[in-house]
Amino acid sequence: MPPTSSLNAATAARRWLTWLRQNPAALIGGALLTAFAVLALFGPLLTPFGIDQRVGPVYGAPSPAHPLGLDDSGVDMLSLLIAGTRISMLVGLAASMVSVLVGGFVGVTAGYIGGWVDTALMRITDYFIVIPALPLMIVVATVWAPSVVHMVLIIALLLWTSTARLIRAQVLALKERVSVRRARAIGAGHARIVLRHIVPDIVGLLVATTVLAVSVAVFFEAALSFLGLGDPATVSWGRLIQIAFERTAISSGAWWAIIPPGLCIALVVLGSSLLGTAIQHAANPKAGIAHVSSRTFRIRPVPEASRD
Amino acid sequence: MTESSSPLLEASDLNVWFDLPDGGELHALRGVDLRVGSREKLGIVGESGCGKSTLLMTLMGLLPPSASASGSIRISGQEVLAGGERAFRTHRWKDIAVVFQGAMNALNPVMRIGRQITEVLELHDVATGPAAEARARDLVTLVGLPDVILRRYNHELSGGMRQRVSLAMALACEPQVLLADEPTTALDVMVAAQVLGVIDRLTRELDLALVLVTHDLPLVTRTCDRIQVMYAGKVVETGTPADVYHRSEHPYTRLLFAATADVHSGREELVSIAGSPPRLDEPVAGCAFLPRCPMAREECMTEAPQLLQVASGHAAACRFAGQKVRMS
Amino acid sequence: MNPRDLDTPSVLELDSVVASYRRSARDRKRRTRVVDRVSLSLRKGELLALIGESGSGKSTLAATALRLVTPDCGRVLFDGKDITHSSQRQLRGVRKRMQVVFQDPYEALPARARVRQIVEEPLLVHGIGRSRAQRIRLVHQALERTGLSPAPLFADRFPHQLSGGQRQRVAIATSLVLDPDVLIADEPVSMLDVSARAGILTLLDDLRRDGDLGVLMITHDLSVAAHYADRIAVMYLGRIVEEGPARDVVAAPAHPYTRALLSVVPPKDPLLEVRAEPLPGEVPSFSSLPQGCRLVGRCPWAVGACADTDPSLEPLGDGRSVACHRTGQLPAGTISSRRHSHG
Repeated sequence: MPPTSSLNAATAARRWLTWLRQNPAALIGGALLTAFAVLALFGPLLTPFGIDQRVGPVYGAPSPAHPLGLDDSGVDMLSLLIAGTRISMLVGLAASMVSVLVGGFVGVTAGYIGGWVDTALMRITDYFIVIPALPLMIVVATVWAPSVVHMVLIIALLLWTSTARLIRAQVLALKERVSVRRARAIGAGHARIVLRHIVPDIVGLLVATTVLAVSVAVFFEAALSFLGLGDPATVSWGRLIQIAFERTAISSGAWWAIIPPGLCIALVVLGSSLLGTAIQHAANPKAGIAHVSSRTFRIRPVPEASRD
Repeated sequence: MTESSSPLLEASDLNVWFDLPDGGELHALRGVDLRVGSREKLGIVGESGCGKSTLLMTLMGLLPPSASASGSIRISGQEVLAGGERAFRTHRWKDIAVVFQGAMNALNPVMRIGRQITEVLELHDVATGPAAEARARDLVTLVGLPDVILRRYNHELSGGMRQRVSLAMALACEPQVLLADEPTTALDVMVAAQVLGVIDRLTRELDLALVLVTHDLPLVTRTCDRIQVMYAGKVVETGTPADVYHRSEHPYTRLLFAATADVHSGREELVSIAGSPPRLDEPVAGCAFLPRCPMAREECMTEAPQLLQVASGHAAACRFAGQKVRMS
Repeated sequence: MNPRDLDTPSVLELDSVVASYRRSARDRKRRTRVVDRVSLSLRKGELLALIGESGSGKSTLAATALRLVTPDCGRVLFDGKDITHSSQRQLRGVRKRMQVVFQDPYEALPARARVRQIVEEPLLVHGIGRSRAQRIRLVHQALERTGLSPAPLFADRFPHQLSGGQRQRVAIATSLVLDPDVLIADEPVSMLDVSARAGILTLLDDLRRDGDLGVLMITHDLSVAAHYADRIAVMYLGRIVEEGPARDVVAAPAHPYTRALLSVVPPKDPLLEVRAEPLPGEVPSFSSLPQGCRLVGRCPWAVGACADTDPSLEPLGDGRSVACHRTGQLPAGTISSRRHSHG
């Protein structure tokens, strides 16, 4: 089980650590995401060269000074990759958070209020679900001027629907719980019931959804940038791949301009999937219990110590 | 009641442990003996966590993989516990069958009731084809249901009907012993009484032996010939209903009766038993009931009491059994 | 034994209440009447047991009394004041004085909060207590009253550290902290072990004897009602079929349904013989109510009149009333208990 909010900080931290130790997938996912987050935060301090600084020949091969080689303008690839981490992670995290906030709000509102509000909100959600994601993003991105903020909003626009459905289902179940009925009988208002008796129980699920959404958001960011719909003034992983593609990196044999950003995307997607799934299982342990076992119980002699 | 020379079902010194996730062990059954003679109705009674359901699962050989067991279980004189799953399988359903509390929710929702019964018959090579269908009709008639029920689905039946269907399925292979784990607890009182009436009639008509596991003391005193009261994984008292109610020799039994509401006995004050049962994931020193016992003495702390015979067929696991010591 | 006389004022009164549910989410017009013209009053300091099987409408009746359900017709009076159509805002004051204890103490308490926070919540909701210290004092008082002593020790625990009986005491404390006039206990002991039941029931009994608290206990268990209630009201298919002092109803039930209910409860003394005479069949659904008396298809005493007209609840004298056409004509002593010698 993941820690619960009401325990004191030290106990909570200890339970987190034990949980991580028992879930190697979560540990690997968490480590990957943490590494990229650190890279994004402290990127400017870590970049060996400026990203506008020409330090060598066009598509210079990897060397001890430039382990990932140089790009089409002779700029150090490692520096570009670290700079790109910042934008990619920012967009990924911000988009997933916006989507979970919107989706969570819609889900809680629909599930808790019910009735026509529920019907209306779920109908809207359905519309968003049936629209194919990529074409919609392309349309919106073309209409709006390319910028990081717009990118976040476009991705969030597509991601909130699954969260809304998931949270609504959870709230519908929680709403019928005896503890919620008790709160209502005490005379607690709706705000109190939602904030004190329902939201605390979906926090785990919200966190899991956010972490899982990061993988989708990072991937979408790369896709949009690759299609040239990203902010041309910024550097992101997707944009690095796009530039390399456009400027004949492949025909030049400059694999170092394409594979490292691609690998970074893959690692973040992997990390957030691993961690997100682990949190999801922990937040909803019943999902993990069902298993078929052909093993049967064991027979053993009575140990002397337990005879009485 | 009569005890035949070779009991249908006999267990001795049963011990069951469950592995706990943190690496510890829970000693759920701690040396339980049990004998069921032909046509005998034995009631196993106790509160939650006393091991009564574990006992029943052990007798059926249906413990989960996290469990380990020791001791001996003999069905019609043949040892099965040592033989493991293979040995149990030769007797399960054919000699000894079970009805669970939740059995009515265990029916397949997408299969007609009739098919589910014939499936049991085919699985155990009792009958196939039209013969199986005829037998299925007989079985539902036996439990007092109309045979249209065979074409119905689980969700079309009430709780009482479902419990009768699971009873019919338990009787499919004509077992000699029927085990029932809280068979009526989930039902409304009126329906529960109907189902109990059916079980009672069947034991007489089919010469069935019954092992009834429940927390409901009046239910076993009304239904059974013999009672075993369990506490913390042990049998603490065994005897006829009259022995156990009128001549009780274990303080837990006495308190349990005194705590049970009875509509027919006026408004006597009910007692509550303070405290809670001991943790079974730690060794229990001395008598397990000691911390809650009004008769406890210093001796009780060191030595675990054995079942002491106080009269023929009546025994209690209390060091004061048979000594006419009053509860304070 | 009855601590209250018939002229003690009622604190909660239901007057010909009808409550219904929509038959399905789509069909807005057709409704199923789950409570049909029920009148019931709970006096101050009284313990009234409402008996019924599942589907009798007893829980809906309680929800109507709490005004969690608005009745279709009839009136709900709390302390003489008509609250049938009060708005949620107006009900806030009433809710505070009318509290509920739920069946399942394992589910009813929020798992993440300490006992202190759980018992304090009603105070925060209703803005009672000027300071935190004052609220904690009230919390401790409520815990002590429910027998959770020493209170500071229990206040610091989480629900999962408590036994079922202790949790139910915490649930009762969350009601008591508001000093209510009415406590509605919905199957308060059915999830508890036998050894913990008497403690909770005695607590409820003591609480209403201490003051003016009226307790409405909803239960399927006639034995529990017989031991503790002043009065018993028996519900069947949305109607009250029999009502009266607990002792009299149990000693000589007047309605065939009550008689059958009593006969199926075994006595604990094995030498006492009570013949179980359950009614045949099952409770019909609300959507297919029989003509005439609702028990007609299952009642062994039914005559022609029973299939034609629905009997109303008529007084029998001595505070008893029964809804049966054959009142006074039933053979006496079908559930008579006689001792017989046993081997």
